Amino acid sequence: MERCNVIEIENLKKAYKNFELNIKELDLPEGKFIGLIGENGAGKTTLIKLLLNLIERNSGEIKIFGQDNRTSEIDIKNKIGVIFESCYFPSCMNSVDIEKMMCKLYKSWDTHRYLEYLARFDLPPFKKIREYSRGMKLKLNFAVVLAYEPDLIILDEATSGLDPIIRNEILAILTDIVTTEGKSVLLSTHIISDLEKVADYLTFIHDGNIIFSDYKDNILNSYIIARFHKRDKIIIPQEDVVASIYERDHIVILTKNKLNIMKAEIFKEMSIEDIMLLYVKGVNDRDWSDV
Amino acid sequence: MIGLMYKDFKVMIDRFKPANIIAILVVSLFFILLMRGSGATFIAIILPLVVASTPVILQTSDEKSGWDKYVWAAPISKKGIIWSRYLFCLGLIAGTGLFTIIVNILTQIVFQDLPLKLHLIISIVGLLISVLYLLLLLPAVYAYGTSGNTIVSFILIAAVMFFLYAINITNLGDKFIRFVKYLLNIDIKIVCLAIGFMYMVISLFSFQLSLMVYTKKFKR
Repeated sequence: MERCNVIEIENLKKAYKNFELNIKELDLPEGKFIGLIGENGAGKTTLIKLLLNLIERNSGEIKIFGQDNRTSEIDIKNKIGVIFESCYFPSCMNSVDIEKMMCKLYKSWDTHRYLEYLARFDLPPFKKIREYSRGMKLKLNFAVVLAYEPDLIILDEATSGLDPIIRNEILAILTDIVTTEGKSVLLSTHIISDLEKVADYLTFIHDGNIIFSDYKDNILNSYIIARFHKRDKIIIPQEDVVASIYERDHIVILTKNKLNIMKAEIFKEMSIEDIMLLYVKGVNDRDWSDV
Repeated sequence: MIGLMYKDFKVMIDRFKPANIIAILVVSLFFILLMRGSGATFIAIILPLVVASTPVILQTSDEKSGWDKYVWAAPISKKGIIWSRYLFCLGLIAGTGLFTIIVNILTQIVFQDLPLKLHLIISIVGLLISVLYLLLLLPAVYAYGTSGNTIVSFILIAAVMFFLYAINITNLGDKFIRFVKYLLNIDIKIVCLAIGFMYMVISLFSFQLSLMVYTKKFKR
């Protein structure tokens, strides 16, 4: 049977003193560019650490490529590329040293491909990492990961420190890998504008819970953000209001119901960021039966 | 595993630049010229002990770069990570031990002020003490980072002081001398086997302790 999910999570729980990640069910499709969004401290990095089995979970199951991420850890990690925000290679090494080290760690390491990316990113082979700029360090991370052609690339805020030109170049490479090679990319970032351009699928995590996880187009089609004056009598059932915020005399609501808001000013250029902001800042406990 | 050992090698090369190594060799040569056989035996004890503190240098580098966390995302088991560090450090001490043995043999040939047997015994004792120190240091460094060195040094100094104190106030000293004499009368092969077995047990214990501490440290 053909597999269609790259990551499958069930009843995952990780509790810290002041925070709890709780995911009942989460399936992320294979061969897609997946965006993991959420504010700082929402649980994105915790989720990534759990995926990589870097931290102990309280309960739950995680399957990557259909395999349990604990029992098949080494096998899975051979097929995963991870890029964090910083460069973690010892500063005394240069990119040639990195090649000599990493080729022994990854079965599918391709030196030719690595050298190609070094040249493409203008990374000098014999310059020590301590002399690299922040952008160069991040580009080195990408060159390393792309060199062993992982089936899943996980990026944890990895593009945040890059200037827009390099960021676009990297995103273009990742998009190309997804579309032409059928690989999967999971990008955790707070730069949502990037994801709006490239992501096929979005998972929004808030306060340790998954708020939505769906194809980007489905999300954009299923939500409506509307703004109306407080004096307008608009009947909206409470259950249809996902979140709302007050703006002086106006109320902005996030709803899934397209009906009954004809008097309202509907945001035509609604973005994922708008939805996320309303979710994070908004409230959903008001009685909307008679505004 | 070879990849990780290569990384450790590069870190050590960066730390001990050619100028540093030349300085150590010049000081060693100075000691030998000044003290002859005694200088060589002193080097046989000190040099492997200095090299035994390698885990502290490697751990500092790993913590500084964040490699100690990054390596968990690589397809290598925790056992493999620990094992590579043990192999690298033991290999480095073995290399240093071999160097001090050669230096001691050459010193004996040139100056002939101490018997060759004494040179060899002190070189091997120096090597064994350094390996023991390393086996204690590795789990301590995994548990307490760079402070592990201070903790192990403190424990060892305290143990030696207590031993000396105990010898002074009891008849333990006589018993110890009798025990050493007894050892000298036993077949050398049996002594070697006993020491080998003892070191194997300590190595296994040290490795398991390091693995336990290392796994617990990151699995929070």
